[in-house]
Amino acid sequence: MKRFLFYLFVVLMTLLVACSGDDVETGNEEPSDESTEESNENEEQSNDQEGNSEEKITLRMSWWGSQNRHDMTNEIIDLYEEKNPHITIQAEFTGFDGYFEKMAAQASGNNLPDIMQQNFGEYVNQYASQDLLEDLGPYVENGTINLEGVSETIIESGKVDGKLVGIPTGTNALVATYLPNAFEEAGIEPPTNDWTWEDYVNIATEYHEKTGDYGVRLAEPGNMFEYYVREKGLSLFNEDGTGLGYDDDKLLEDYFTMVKGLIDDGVSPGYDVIQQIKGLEDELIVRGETPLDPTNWSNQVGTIEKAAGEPVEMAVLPGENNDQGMFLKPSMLWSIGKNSEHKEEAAKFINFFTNTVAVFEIIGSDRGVPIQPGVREALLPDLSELDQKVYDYVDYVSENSSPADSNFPPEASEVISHLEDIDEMVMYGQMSPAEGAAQFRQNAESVFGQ
Amino acid sequence: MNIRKTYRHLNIRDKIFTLSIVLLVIFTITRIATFNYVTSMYEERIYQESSNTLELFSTILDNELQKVENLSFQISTDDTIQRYLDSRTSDLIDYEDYMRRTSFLLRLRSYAFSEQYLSSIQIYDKQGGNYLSGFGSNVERERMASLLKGSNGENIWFHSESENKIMAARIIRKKENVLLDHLGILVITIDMDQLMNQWVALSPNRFIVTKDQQVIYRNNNLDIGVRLFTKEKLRKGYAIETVNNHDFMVSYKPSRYSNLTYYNFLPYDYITDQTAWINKVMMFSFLFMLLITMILSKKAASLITRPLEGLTRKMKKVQKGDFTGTHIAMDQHGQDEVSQLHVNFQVMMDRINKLIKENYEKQLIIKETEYKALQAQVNPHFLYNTLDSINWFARIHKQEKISMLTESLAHLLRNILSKKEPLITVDDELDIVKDYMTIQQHRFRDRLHFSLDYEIGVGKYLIPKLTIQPMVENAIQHALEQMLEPCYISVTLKKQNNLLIIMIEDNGPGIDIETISDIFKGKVKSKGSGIGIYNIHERINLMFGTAYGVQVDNTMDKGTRIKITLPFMDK
Repeated sequence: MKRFLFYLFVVLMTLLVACSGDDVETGNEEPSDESTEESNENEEQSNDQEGNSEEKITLRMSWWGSQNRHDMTNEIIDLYEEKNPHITIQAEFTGFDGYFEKMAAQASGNNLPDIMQQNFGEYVNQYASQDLLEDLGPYVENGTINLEGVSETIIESGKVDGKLVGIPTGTNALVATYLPNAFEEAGIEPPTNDWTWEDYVNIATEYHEKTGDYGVRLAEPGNMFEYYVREKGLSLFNEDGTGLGYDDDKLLEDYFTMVKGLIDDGVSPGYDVIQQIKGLEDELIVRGETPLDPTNWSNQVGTIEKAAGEPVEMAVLPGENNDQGMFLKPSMLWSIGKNSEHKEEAAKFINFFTNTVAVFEIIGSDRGVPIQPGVREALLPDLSELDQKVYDYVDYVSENSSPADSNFPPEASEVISHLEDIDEMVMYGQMSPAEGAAQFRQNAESVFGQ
Repeated sequence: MNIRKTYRHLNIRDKIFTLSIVLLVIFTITRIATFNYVTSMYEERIYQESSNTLELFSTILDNELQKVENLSFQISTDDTIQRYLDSRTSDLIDYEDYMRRTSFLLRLRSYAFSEQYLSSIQIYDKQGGNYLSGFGSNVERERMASLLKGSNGENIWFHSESENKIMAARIIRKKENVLLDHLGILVITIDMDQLMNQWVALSPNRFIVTKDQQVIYRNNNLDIGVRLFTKEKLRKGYAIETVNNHDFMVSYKPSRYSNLTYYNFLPYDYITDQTAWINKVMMFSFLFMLLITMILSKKAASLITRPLEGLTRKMKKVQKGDFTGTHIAMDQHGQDEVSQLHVNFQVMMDRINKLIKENYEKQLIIKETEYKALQAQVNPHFLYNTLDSINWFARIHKQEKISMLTESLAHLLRNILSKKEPLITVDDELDIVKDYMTIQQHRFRDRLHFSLDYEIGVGKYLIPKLTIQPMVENAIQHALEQMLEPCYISVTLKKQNNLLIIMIEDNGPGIDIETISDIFKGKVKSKGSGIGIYNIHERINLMFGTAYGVQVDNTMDKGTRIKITLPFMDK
């Protein structure tokens, strides 16, 4: 009997050890997937056709814009990361001021982001001429980026010297935004699409006299003078990009005189006021300090109306020949830095951004009207009132405009920066409009002469 | 001791049952203890992991916050910025002012872009001007002013009401000539989400950062109240907390650098669920085993006790004197100890039964023999007295021969019957032989010639009673009665070496060799009442050893010679 008990004891001990051994094993298995959430993630990955085997990739992506745009873009990034768990997108965003300074610094360190927002015109030309941007042509050809159905003009706008270096997120147009309620209160007729430069000055002045507020926001010369020149049937740069596109300095002198007149009369604020504006949401029109702002782009209207909290209406820019001055601009190109290590993945993201209806459901008209007709059509039935307004405006401009200038030489941004500096001096009375116009030509020619 | 006593009083069935239950309980307790030990070890290990993560996390954050503080110091002492703030006197500005402010703002912007997680850099000047680079966030100026009071230009951390933004604020003081004039307030806002994404984006953990018991950062929308984070609760360095029906392992670490505390929430649902599940399984398995043990121990106990009870029943029966019927309920199968007990008991009972039977039969024989002997004792005395009477009648009537015959017969009978001892002297034995021969001489007359020859002094030795007489009787039966001529029978006694030799010879037909060997194998039965050769031989062997005994010499056609070898035996 004793011996039997001994055996029994031994057997029980063995069982005990075996059982507890099991526990230890199962215990060790669990922690390997540290949380249920993580294991869920793993499941998602394995469900994803190609997700599991792919290595984790981090893409850097930069853009400029308002806080509103950042929020919406981050939402789109979340959506993409959710669908592509192996991709992490590291966002770098700033306001437009300083964006290209930052990019310039990154370019000098050969550290441009994988996906970067580029600006049509002087900037994209500048970066392309330095061979900093990847040729996207092959990605379109092999179908990574699907541009089927996109109008040839728009694709053309992403090309520099025949190389496709950027895919526009949408199309835009310059717009004069105004507050209809403010004009109504003041008893003044708001702008119409056929207003002249005289109307422009008169409306602003009348409003200022009646209310004491600013009648119009100060227009910086960058976009405004380019339009002004186009409206006169000329262009800022000559066709082969080797000099200015106008010969008579009177043109710029008149422009300076008009703008300075508004400042001197107190109709329009000076640079010190403009300098203090902290982003689109802080604009004078948003704060109700002026009812008219001729410096916006159609894609900004959404943000402005949201921030202003009252209806914002749109008119094309003034001038008898404004149908000639107005142009459709491909807004905000997506480019891939030449130094990127994940160009294929960056291209996939651009394709996602271009061809996904959900993206534009999030971002609305903030990045312009989608370039893909399919996406546009899918969006039409559910457009918000505001987005509908923007779409209508862009449609109007597309029928009442001339093609955008694409002959920006690489020196363009430097030339424009000179124009801005001189404008500041003229507005502060450091020099007369005539002196300023002559000085600009001199500066521009020295830039081209380099 | 009491338990032992109680235990001893239990019957086997209860003993086995109790023992099994005790073993089961020990087993279960050991199991639970082991499980708990492993769980706690495991927990400790996870805590280590969590704590390592937290360590890394807090080091990174501390570094970044230190960096921001350094940046704040750098901005507040920047020459351009100090100069601009100092020169600022009124809102009316000319071109020079505008350009100075432009370069001031550019400087501010370049600082703001130095790190992506810097959401904004703001400066409030003493005229109430507000300069911002980056994306503005609402700063509660009054709260900030009260926090900055008495800070003497030192950096102060605080957070906005909207979460996930923390701010570093500092009074900018004039450094020129150590005038320390108040030039403005610098506020750097950190976007914690961005900071986390940048540094710890891949971690599945959830972090919370608190300052003065207020949450200033939480990720993954972790809805956890501040009340949880009492130092007591986290005495071990960690605790398991339930939040919104989810379990987390919470570990914490105070910042070495600022008065922030970092918490790491590790999802723990899976583990607690599993622990609970295992506990449940162990509980059920215990109950199940309990049931099995109860059934099996009962079964095992009855397997042992039932045969024992059967055995006890049998023994009780035997106790009452019933020796029959012990074969009932005998377990044919089984080789265990109890079955062996059964078999042994059976064998023992069989043996006892056999002994009883033998003893009983022996007693019967003894009784019968005693009775026969009594009968036999009556007859010789009666016969002897009668022979005496006949002798006296013959003497009276002068019948000499009859008198002699009856006298010899009477002598013979008396000698045979009266000598009770097994050993008698040679003289006594020879008297019997002489008496016997006297009677036979009268019967056979001339046909019988008897001669007796012995050495002087032999008569005093002892020999077994009736050693010689049966031999002589044999000789008369087998030799004399088979022949017509006169038969010579001689008895010779002599001493040879240390032996007493007795020779009985006749000149009869002899005995063939086969008959002799048959005699010594005890196969030949003596005729009539006589005592056979074999019998005498055996008696001598038993009394003196095998060196002595009877020897038959076959002298075919010349008679038979029987030689008896005996030791000398004195009285």
